[in-house]
Amino acid sequence: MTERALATAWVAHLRAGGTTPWGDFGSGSPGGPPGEWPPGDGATGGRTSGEWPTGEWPTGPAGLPAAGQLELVRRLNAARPTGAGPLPGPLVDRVLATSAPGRGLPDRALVGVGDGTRFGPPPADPTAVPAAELVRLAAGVLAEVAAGACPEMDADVHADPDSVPDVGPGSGPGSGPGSGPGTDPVPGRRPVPWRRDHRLAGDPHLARVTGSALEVAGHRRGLRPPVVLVLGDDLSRVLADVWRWRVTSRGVTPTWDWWVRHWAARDQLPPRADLTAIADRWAARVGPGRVHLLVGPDPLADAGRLLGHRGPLAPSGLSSRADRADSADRAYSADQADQGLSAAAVELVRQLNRVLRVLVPPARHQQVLGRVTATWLAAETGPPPALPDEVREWVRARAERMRSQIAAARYPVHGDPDALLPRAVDDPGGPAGPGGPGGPAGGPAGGGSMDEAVLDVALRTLLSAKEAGR
Amino acid sequence: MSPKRVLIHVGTPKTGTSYLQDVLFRNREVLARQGILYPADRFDAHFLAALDLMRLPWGGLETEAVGAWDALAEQVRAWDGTVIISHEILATATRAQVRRAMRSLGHPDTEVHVLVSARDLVRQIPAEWQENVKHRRTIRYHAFLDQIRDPERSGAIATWFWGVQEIPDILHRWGDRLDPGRVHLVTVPHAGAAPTLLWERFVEAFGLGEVELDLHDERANPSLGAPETALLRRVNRAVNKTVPPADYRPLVRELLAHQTLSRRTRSPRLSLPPEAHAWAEELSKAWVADLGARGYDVVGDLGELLPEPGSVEFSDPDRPRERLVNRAALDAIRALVREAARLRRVESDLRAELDEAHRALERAYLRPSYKARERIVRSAEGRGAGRRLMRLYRRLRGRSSRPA
Repeated sequence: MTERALATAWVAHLRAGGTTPWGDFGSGSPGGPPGEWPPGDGATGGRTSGEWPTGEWPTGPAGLPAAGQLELVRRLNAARPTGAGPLPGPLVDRVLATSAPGRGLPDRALVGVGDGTRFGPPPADPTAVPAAELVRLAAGVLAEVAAGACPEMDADVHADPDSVPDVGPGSGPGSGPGSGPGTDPVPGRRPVPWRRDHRLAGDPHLARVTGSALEVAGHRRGLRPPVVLVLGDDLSRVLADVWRWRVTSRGVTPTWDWWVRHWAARDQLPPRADLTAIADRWAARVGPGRVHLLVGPDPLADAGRLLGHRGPLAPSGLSSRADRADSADRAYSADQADQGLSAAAVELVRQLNRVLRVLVPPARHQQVLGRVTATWLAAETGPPPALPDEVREWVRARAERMRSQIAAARYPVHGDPDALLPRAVDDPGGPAGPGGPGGPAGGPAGGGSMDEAVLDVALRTLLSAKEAGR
Repeated sequence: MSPKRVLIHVGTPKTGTSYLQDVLFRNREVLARQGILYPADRFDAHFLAALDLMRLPWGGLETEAVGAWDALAEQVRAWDGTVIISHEILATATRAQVRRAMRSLGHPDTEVHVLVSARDLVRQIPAEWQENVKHRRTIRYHAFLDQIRDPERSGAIATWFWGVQEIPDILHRWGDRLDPGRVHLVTVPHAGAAPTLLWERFVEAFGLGEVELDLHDERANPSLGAPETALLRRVNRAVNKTVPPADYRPLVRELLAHQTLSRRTRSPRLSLPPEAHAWAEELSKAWVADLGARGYDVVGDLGELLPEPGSVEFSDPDRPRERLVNRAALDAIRALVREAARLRRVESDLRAELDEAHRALERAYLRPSYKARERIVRSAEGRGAGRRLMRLYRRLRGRSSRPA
């Protein structure tokens, strides 16, 4: 069998669900599904012999798909549960026909299969294609699927992109999760006229948790001017939550390291993490007596008490995929999805954002994040990213400054202001440190590289996105 | 009217593409009268379309590119005559992206021609390093040469360089489904040739001989000398962390590089060190042999892709003559001071205009007629019927915003 025929057979092997690496294919090593190796019964479009059809114009030279695309299919096959059968043909076709978006390595020919020219990028062994390149390719496929899966936009969102303000928790009066879907009253539950309404500001994760708990507990909002709860915790955690929120809800693309270093270089806190500034702005608007700063990782008890809720509040969580799907159906908010999203999952969203920025208009981009990717990634939870070493001292200094400002505040403070100070990296409640499951500044769980961790998330997402019925 | 055909010019950079695109853009009405469409409502329309086709982020510009390729292709399909598309970053398109482009342009039912303009590698390599420096990179020249000579081509610089400069591969990606007669290679003449020769070749390749074009050009993309490029690289190191791209483009690339340092034409030019020169020459010979065997339409001479005999004396930009760098720096400082002075005048003028506007506004507010109208509007807004009347009034006036 010639190398070219062998390569064609390998493609069919992958289409049939095989997982044998190219380097082992033809050497007799098993790796494919029982009864399907050597390749292809045609059930998934596998090609058993001969040339790749000339009309298909595949991604690689020599009339074959490129090495990265083939490796991604192999990894997808390997990520399938045992006995799950081959991948659907349309998914395989989409992967094999798509080039990775943006900048990176070009599509490379399969090593060992000559294409008649000695020019162009060097051929590659598919298993040597870097995980980061496979992630880039997967992000391209996912972005196209996500854009196609997003329901038609509401008329009001078709307006000027500027009509979607880049505001959010704690950016000032009139904004924040309290006004978002995550903490809106449950449909059908009327507000209580004599009760005060509320606004939740500050850390977007805590605001989401608190808003969801209130909603699940059946808390009815009021019609009187609001009480404002500004929620904060360990400042390094607040920063990480704000970054995660901006990536998953606002479609921004800076890496965690770049973003936090950027603020450190300016010696400024991002507006959504500057808790005392948020509280001051609200106090100027509604009066200091109706602004409460809640410090600590568990604000639910204080929040319930301050809002006059009878009975305890408990973290709600959206425990099942069905729950999440239901939530998605009623305009599931990206605010809800960034709860505890792992650093690897946020990194995947960040890479999706790079594609979505050129694929869809800004308003639709945010809808895709809120309605599609939030649902896809809801189960991908994990600790926030850890601070880069060189900004730790800066964050501590800012936290200490904030603690001093709180001591002189005119509004009530609940909880221990010392909780603003960054906890040690080995503290169970703190962020993961380098080498732990922290994120871009550290490594993923299990000691693998961050790129591999992101690729794992991308593979799971590709498989589940397909199963979502597209 | 010319028959339906699409001419897509996909590169390469530093081969007169900016001039060509400027001429085509400014003459698009003249061209249209001759049945030739250059579909662009802004100068960078084809650049944005290329970003969209390749899903390529570009410092935030990509958000302006959403749907740009499909919009361009739609115009192409709707035109009955000749259509010209031109942008050099299209050279990096992958096979899948080429497929999408070709299909959207109507291939194979529509006659599509691919054009590439090419210059010899010995001139292209230093030019590409200079472009890198003009786009904020701080890599030294020899490190740049090491990266592009790495057979693995795994770095970002090498990936981009070969993507836009490796002529045989570009034509293989773009042209391997086309009749070789529909693949056109325009070679850039060697230095010393008649200054109009390259343009004459473009005219021939694009079939523009019958069109009277206005060739006035304001978009030269001038090159820098070795000490000037060395200075710019140092500037990048000094400002990259603090100057955002939106300020870098007008102040550093435009003001310093294009408008100031490029005028220093007597300084040593960038070139290849001897050993890299020999390597590039060997590679160029291999290219020419390969391209010659493919049967493409060559406008010019494949021999022009080989370096000129006689080498330029190498002036190392990594170890520039500091006296020359200092002189270039003085020119740069002078330009920046002048620009700062100009901006101070602009600021002063604007401040005066703003003050005058404030005074006019205050006078308007004090008029009894304004106060009366304000009372009427406030009163109307407080009643249901009044609000409806105001809505009707605003609709008739054609404004959607509420008054301040």
